[in-house]
Parts: sequence; C-alpha cells; structure tokens
Amino acid sequence: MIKIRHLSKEFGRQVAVREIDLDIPAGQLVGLLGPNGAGKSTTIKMLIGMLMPTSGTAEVGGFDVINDPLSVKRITGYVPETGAVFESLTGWEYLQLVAALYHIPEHEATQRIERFGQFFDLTTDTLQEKQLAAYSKGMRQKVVITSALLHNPQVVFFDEPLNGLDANAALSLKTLITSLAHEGKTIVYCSHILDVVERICERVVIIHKGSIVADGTVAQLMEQTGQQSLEHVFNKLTATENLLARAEEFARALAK
Amino acid sequence: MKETTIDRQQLTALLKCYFRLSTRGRVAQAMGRGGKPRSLLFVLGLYVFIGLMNGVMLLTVQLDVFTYTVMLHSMTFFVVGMALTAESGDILFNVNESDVLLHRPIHSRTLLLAKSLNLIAFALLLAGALNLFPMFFGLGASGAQLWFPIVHLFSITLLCVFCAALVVCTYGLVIRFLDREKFDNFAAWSQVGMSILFIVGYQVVPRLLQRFEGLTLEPYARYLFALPPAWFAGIDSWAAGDRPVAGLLPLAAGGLLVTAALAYVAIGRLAPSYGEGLTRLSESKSRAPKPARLRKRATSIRNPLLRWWLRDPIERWSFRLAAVYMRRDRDIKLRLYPSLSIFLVFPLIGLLDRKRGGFSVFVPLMTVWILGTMPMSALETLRMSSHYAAADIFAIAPLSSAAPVFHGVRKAILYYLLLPAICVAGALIGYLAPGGRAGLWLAVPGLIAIPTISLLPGWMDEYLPLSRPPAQGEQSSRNMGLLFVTMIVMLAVVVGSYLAWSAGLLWVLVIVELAVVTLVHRAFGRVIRNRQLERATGNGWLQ
Repeated sequence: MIKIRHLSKEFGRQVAVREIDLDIPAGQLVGLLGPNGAGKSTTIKMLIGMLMPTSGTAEVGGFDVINDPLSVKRITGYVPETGAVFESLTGWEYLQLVAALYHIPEHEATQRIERFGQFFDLTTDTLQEKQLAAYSKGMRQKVVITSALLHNPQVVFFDEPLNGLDANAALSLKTLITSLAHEGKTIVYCSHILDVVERICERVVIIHKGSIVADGTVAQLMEQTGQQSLEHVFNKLTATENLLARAEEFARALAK
Repeated sequence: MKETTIDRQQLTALLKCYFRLSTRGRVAQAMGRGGKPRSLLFVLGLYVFIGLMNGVMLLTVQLDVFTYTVMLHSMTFFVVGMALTAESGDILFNVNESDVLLHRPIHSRTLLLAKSLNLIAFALLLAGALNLFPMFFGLGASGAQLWFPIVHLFSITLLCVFCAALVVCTYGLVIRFLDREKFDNFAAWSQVGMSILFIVGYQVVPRLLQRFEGLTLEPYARYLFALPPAWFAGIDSWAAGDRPVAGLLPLAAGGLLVTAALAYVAIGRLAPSYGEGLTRLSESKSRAPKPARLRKRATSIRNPLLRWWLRDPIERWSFRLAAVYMRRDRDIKLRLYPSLSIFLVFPLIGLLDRKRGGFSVFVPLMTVWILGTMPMSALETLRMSSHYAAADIFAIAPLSSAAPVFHGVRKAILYYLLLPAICVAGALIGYLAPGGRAGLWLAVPGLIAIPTISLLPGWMDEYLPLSRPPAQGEQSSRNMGLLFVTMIVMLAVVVGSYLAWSAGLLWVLVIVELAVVTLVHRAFGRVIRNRQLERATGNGWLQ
C-alpha cells in the first residue's frame, strides 16, 4: 500500500529525511517512532502530498505522491500533530466543509458526522452551536480525528493523535485504530508514547536523524538490541549516553 | 473530472468557509458575543459616512460624469488597494492553514479561485460602502443618465476584480522564485511599496490633474491611460454619461481588457505555481548560523543611554520582544510596515505643494500631526499576533501590572519606528524649506507631546503585546477608534503651536507644554502602573 524508495528531503542545508526505503502492506498498523526532529512528520507530509521530496520516490495506494498528489490525498486521512482547524467555524461547519472537499453528499456526511459524534461523545448541539475556538483541546482533537476519517480513507496517518484526549477517549481511539487495521486499512501511527505503540502496533519503524535505524515487530527489535522493552530499545538506538546520570546531575544543579 | 478544472462543489464549500471566517472575529467568539462581525461593520459604517461626505463635496462642485467618477474611482482604488494589500498576505498565504487544507484533495486552481473570490468579495464590501451614496449622487453630475447607479456598480465591481487580480498576479509571480523567508520579506516590503503607491496616487494624482486640467478632465489625454481609475471612469462615462464615445471607448475597453487579462493570468496561469508556493511556504529552510559576534549584537543593547532608558529588566525584554517581532515575524511585518507608509506621504505631498506655491508652514504641522498617531497605530498592530496563546506567559509570570511590558513595547516603537521617521520627515521638510528651516521649529510642541500620547493605548486599556488573535477588519476598527482620539489630541497641540507661532509665543508654549506634559505623563504612568493585571482564561486574553 505504501512504497518508499530512496526518499529524501532537505531544507536548505539541513537533511530532514535521508534516502529512506520502506514498504507497508495493506491492513498493517505501523508505529513510526523517533526523537524530536528525527524526520517523522516530514516523512508523513511527503507521503500525503504536503511536501515535495527533494529526491526519491513514494507511492501510496499505487499513486505517485509526486506526480499524482491529488489521488493520494483522496485515499488518505491525516491527523496533524498541531490539531489545526478553522477556529471560527463550529465543529459541524468544519466537518461539513471537509465532507464537501471529499465530495461526500450532504445527507451522508450528516449521518457520518453524527455517528462519529456518538462515538466521541460529542453531541450534535455542541457541534452545531459552539465554535471550535471555544472547544477544549480534547474536543478539538476529536473533531480533527473525525475530519481525517470522515471520507473512509484507505490509509490513515496519525501524528500524535492522543494529544489532549482524556483516558476514555484515548482508549476508544486506540480500539478504533486497531479495528480499522483489522478492517484492512493501512495505519501509520506516529507517537512519543511508546507503551501505546508497543501495545497496538504490529510493526515499529524507528527514525533517527532522518534515517531508518530499526524496522520490525516489537519482539524482533527487543531481540536484536537485547533490551527488555520498546522504551529501552528506543533509548538505546536514539538517546545520548548516560541519560540517567545527566538527569540526576541537572536536578542537583537546579536545586542549588 | 479533469484535474485542471475548477471543482465547483469544493469551490462552494471553500467560499462558504472563507465567508464565515472573514465575518467572525475569534476574540468576539471567545468572549461569547456571538458571531456578529462588529469590527467589519464598524469599518463599513465609517466608509459609508466617508462616501457620503465625499459624494456631497463632489456634487457641490458640479462636475461632469467623467471627472466625478475619476475622483470616486481614485478614492475607491486607494481604499480597496490598501485593504487588499493589508489582507491579501493573510488570505492567500496563511501558513496556519496548511495543516487544515494542504492534505485535502483540492486542486491549487480551485483553492486560488476561492481565495481570489474571497478577496474580491471583501473588496466589494468596502467599495460598496464607500460608493453607496455617491452612486446615487452621481445622477446629479452633468450629463448623467438614469442608469448611472447600475453602470457605476458594474464599474466598481470591475475595479475590485482588477485590484484583486493584480495582487494575486504579483504574489503568484514572485512566489515562483522565492523561498519562505525571502517571500515574507518581499511581501512585507512590497506591501509598503504598494501602500505608498496607493496613498501617493490618491493624494498626488488629483493635485497633478488639477494643475494640468483644472477641474474638468479630458478623456483624450494620454496620461489617463496610466491611471486605472480613469479606465473605470471611462466605463461609467461611456455607458451613463453624455461625453463623445470616441474619447472614452479606448479607456473603457482598456479597463475591461486589462482586468480580463489579469484575471486570466492569475487563475489560469499562475495557479500551479501558487500550489507549489503554498507547499514551499510550509517548509522552513535552515540557514547558516550567524557568527557568535553578530548573534550577541542582535540581542544585546549596547547604547548606554538606551540601557539607562530600559533599566527595568522587564521593560528591556519587552523592548527586545517587540524589536524581534518587528524584524522577524511575518504577520507583524505584513501588518505593521504597510500601515506606517502613510507617515511618509505628507512630506512628499509638501514637495509637490512647494513647487506649486512655495513652502507652507502647514507641512511640518501636518507631518507632526500624522507622526503623533504612529506609536498608537504600531502599538495596536503589535497587540495582535497569531502566536497570541504564547501571551499566557504574562499571566503565568508573577507580574502585578502590565506596565513594564507595555512601556518596553512602546519604547521599542519610539526608538525603532518613530525616531527614524522623524529624521526622514525632518530631512525631507528641511530640504523643502532651505530658506525657512525655522518652520521646522513649529513641530517641536508636537514632538514633545508624542511620547505622552503614546501612553494612550496603555492608559485606556490593559496592554499586552501579541496577546490577541488577528481577525479581518479587527485592526482597522480598533485603530480607527484610538486614531480618532489621538488625532484630536494632536490636532489641539498642532493648532496651539500654530497660534503660538503666529503670536511669537512658540517658546513660551514649549515651556508651558513641557510642564503640562510632565504632569500628564506621570498621571498616565500611575494609572497604567496601578492597573492590576487580568488573567488569561483560555482562548486569548479576555478583558
């Protein structure tokens, strides 16, 4: 479903993504991990046609992201890390706008929005009366997630989707993501919450300094690195050394 | 569906969305004031009033249709051009929009058309308000036909399309060649240039025309082909006036052709580069780091006098915050510098008037009068930012009052904007009056008053920089209110200066004013210092 070959992205002198190769089959739930600035979001943005790669190729659902970005956008959904929405619209207006952009007929869009509203505990009144600027962060995130799934995409990219969600909503979303994968959707899940990734993703890809440094199931990665959890695997592959000692020294200096 | 065609369903949805966004202020919503576009309504009301006054004034001079509509279109061209110049950056290249729309399957042509139509609708609102009364008063112009209002409505619509297409074309062309940072700088400075052009055009062109033609313009004059308002006046006069067709037809046809060509190039040709440009704007290029020596210089205040002036550490850091935003932030640059260009125009007008009738003492008086409003205008601009949520830092920090923050920003404006403007204006006026530089002394009372007048925004209301979300029309309406107060105060100072100068008592006035200003400055400062800082409550600063 996703095929990446020698994909690179440079911002001026800085190389954000360096010649990565990756294949993700349909129906797979892949966790994309990496420290801040590793190149995860840049990779996702290239795969959904938001950023033009500097070199290399990528296909999503058989469509070339460089030559046919509109077709790629039609079959993908994206939950951005920023949770950006048009804040002066009500939740309802925003979702109707998104539905229209994907050519979903209005009556069908209404049904879908109501269904998502029920799932996320967002009442129609709340959606129709309040503008998004007045929503809590969690409520807004629910709208953002709904807007990414409204058109029933084949591939969904989640970038820190649990941002701001309460425990119940987070649990619902994790279950939904797993169910979507079981239904045959390809999911790329980008997060810093490693235990969630460990629990729900069948495959984990770790990016560090723009390159893929690990790719496999959690069990495989633990075996390859000799570590006991995904957190330790991640730490071993991406962190600077003596993390614990440095933290203790810093806390002591701060307390003085 | 062909990928290059306009998607009507998407276009309709986007237009609805942009209309709602344009007419709803985020601050108003957060404050639970409903969805009424108060700011925009205020501006429209003001333009209706200005239009009424303008129409009455033009009507009393008994002009023919062509001259009357040249005047009207000049004013509309100025207002619409300035408004589009100020708003187009936000509408066409809103970086915050990229995470909402850039991953949706929207062809760049559809998106660009939606944004262009939004620009045109915004321009039409302003132009409609400004021409509401003059459109009907035009029936009183000599030779006007009964259908003049309808024709004029058509011609101002065309003028709005022309202005919007011109803006889109300009940006569409330059975005092909520039990365984000260069584009931001270009956008800011091109808007300054365009603002000066519109203001100078509006102020200077009628003076030139008057010199050449008196109060009746001849449509045969070749120079009229260089003036877009004359093209659209040609349409009015040709279709609803009694001028000979042969003289007006080329002007009217020129207007139609140029507008159609610009619109075609904007939407038909530049859409792909617009799409690429939007993608590029969402990238940020890393640059080579500056040498340590230069980095230090950029953030340090070395001038001992300035260090003394900014001896309060909070003031000093607010000063730096304002200076950095004025230099680096795209939103602020796009809003600030074009609005400041008006302050350079009066000395330029003086240049023309001088050639016409010698140096006038009104030039320094007018200049200092206008300069007095600059700090207020800049302070209001710096009040709004797309980073408004970050202003929560002022609520989190243990500050009892916004006073030091306000003074820091105010001093940055006085130092970085007002001082250079005074130098430039002084140099221009000094050049204008080589034999009578004594006229410059007339500006002294005004200059003394400016620092105290700059306290007004902080005295009237709690002032925190970058703490309010920008909204279309918001800046204009807020500025108008404070501008009015500031202009009245400055006018009193300026009139006083003139009367004292005429009576040979200018220096007496200066001494008295110094005493009064010191007292008022202290009183204002006390009010600002004693006002307790209100706390943020979620969506921006609620006051």
